[in-house]
Amino acid sequence: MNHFKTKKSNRIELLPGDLDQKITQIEQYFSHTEDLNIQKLVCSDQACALFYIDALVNIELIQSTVIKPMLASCEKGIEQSLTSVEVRKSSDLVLVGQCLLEGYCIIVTETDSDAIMLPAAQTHSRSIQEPTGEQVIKGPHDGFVESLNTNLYLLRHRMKNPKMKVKYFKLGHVTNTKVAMVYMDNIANSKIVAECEKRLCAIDLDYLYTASNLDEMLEEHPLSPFPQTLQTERPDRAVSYLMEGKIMIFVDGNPSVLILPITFFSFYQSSDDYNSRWITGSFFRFIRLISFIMAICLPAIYIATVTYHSEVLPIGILYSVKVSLTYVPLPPILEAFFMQIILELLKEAAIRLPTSISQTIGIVGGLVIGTAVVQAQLVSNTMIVIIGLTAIASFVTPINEFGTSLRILGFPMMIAAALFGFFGIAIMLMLVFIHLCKIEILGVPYFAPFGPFQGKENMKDIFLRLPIWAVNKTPWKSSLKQTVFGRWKRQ
Amino acid sequence: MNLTISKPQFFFLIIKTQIGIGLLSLPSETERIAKGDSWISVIWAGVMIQLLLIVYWQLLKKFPNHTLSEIIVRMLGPYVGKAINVIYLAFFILIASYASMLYVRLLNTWMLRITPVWVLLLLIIGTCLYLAIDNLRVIARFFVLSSVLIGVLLLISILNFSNEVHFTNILPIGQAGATQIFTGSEKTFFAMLGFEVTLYFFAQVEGNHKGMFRIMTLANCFITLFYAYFVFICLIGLSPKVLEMVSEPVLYILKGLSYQLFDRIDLIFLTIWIIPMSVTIVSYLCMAGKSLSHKQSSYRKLVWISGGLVFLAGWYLSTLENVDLYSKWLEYGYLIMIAAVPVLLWLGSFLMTNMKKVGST
Repeated sequence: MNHFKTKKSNRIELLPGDLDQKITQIEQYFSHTEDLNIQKLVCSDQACALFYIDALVNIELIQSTVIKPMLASCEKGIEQSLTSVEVRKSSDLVLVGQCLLEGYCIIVTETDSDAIMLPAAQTHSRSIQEPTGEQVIKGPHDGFVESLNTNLYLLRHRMKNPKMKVKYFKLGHVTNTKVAMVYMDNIANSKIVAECEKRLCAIDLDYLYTASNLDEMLEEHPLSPFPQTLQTERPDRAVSYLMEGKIMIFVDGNPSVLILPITFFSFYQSSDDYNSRWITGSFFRFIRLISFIMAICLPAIYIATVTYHSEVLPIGILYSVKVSLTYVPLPPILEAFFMQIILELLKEAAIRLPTSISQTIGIVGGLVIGTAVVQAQLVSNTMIVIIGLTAIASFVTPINEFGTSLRILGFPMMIAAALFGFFGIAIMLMLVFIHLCKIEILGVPYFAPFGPFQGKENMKDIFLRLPIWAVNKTPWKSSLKQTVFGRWKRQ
Repeated sequence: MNLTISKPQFFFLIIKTQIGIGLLSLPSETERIAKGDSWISVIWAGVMIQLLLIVYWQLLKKFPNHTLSEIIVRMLGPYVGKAINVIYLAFFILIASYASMLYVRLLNTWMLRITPVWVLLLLIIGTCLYLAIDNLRVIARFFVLSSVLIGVLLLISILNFSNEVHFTNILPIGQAGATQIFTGSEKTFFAMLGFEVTLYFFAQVEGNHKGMFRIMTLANCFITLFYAYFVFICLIGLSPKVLEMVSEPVLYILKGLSYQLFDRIDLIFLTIWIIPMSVTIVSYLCMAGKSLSHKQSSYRKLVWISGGLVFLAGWYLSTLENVDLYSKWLEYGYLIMIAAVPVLLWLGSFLMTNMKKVGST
């Protein structure tokens, strides 16, 4: 591995003199790959060679901007005859190699020690579609794609402002993945931007495939169950974060963009809230926040109630609950684990199957297992209801990743409830909320504006979605003033 | 260590430290002494605390950037100062362990009858340590967040008015006589402990020159009214005889309530009350940490050690049959530490400034 890391700073000079020697050097550098095309030409009485990688370049473009003018106006000299938008020169083989890999075509001459590099890349990108993970009913239906340039286009198209700043990075010593950091220069806190940049530069990785790889390198609390960056594929959502002074990071080849620093409540906001009227939006926002407590607590409360505190239930409800429990041989905690795991299995099975088969899974899982398990008296009716409700509550979160962490948090909660009843739930909830208060991302408290409480200005978009005229335009600006960087130790 | 907190956070730090296990049994303890005038005792205790707060304020005004331990070291020199700070540390640990012992006993009577004491102590102190080892800003965040629950508790307590209430229980006002009321307020005073966090957290409040006394007074008023309110609903909700007999009247008055969706409001109330009770221990652990160390790393170490000691002491205390004698000693000792010592320091500070003036002229 070290071998790759040291390579980064190396510089290999192109051999001077003989053209054939240069050609073999480059061929050798590219390990004699067969898609490296080499074309020998003679231009203004000089032998030169044209290099390009088949798959990465647009052949027509090379023909029209490189070969044609070179052959047509040989007397002017090679450089003058080229009509490309950008002409770069270098004698560094490493840089030349990198450019070749980015779709440049390279011209090497016998006399000149520098190689000439001309852009001729072609891109094949998926057409812009609505992201399947974050669909909305109303509002824009476009989504980010794998190509970095298209993604930047989608942003620039919405944010026609000279203050939108893009910074490029190259990460991954082997993969050389292009990464772009985008923020509003006049809104984003300069300290946070500087810190984020510092961390990106400090990343020492051999490969970078996905945005989640980057996420793992950037996050400050790897042991936390909560996701600490928000990944979205929606440009409208991304632009709204840009306006809040947040930083977004694109990874080339990835449709999702990382947004940071993010807060807990961002995971409960959906584009739909803003596309409908504020009363509707507020109502659904509220429902979603209730679902947070339901997703982590509901099975735990049920377990604690039936195992320890059945006196909390009035006699009417107690009968119907206890009757359904009478013939069930398992203790409630096992029942809950059993059902929860069946549910996760069904979900995992259905995700990757084609829709036609996954419908069958739905029927087998929902109808056959659901009813049979109750009829066989392995699990009580109430437990099925509780687990069903919990699952639905966890699916309500607009960002799927967050819902999954909630379901995982539900397990320790259930164990605590089975061991210590209500006391266990209270202690676990305390731990969860203490943890939420402790997390800071790039110096910004994760549970803001609640912990710390930040006044009514920031509250307008948390429990309710107040009308757009009532909400401060850049609500985060004020709260980003105090920043402390302490926890990040990934260097 | 130098992270600041805001004034509202300071307010909640004080009140959340004060609200704790003491309140649950307070009404019956004062009833035994002050009868129907218990609520006056509570208000009188609030007045006493207010007098003490004035002294605190005068003292802290002179050293706005120092915690009590730093003030002590500065005024009494490194050796005597250190020694006194060690005594403070010991008292904080003892108070925390006493509180956690009461906490575990409460859980054993109301919720978890046969769960071993050490398991409960481990859970409680573990959770508290998790919060206490962080900096004051994070602690303050959680305190403010959990203050939402005070509202919930108040709402639940209002349900009590659907029970039969007898306003005549408190009549005639002044029936117990002044001396009984004063003796009753002594009990209340110990249930209201926690205002001494001012001495340690004052230095970290942002812009602590102006308006601080108002915050302290507000916190004290809130607590006094909150306590008086709970004592009052117990007085009118239970007959004097019953009130003297039950040990946790605040829970007891909710026990009889029944609704279509749930019974036993007291259990729900107690579940929520777990959080204020734990948070009190966090405050004491935090003060224990601050009493001897000024750097974050040594603070953490000290908090860990104190947490361990609280666990052991709490465990030991819970094995004792009768802790009355112990609690009496603890309470009066602690009274000296948080009332007499600051007053002496305050008086001493006059001497010190005078000495300086003499030296300068």
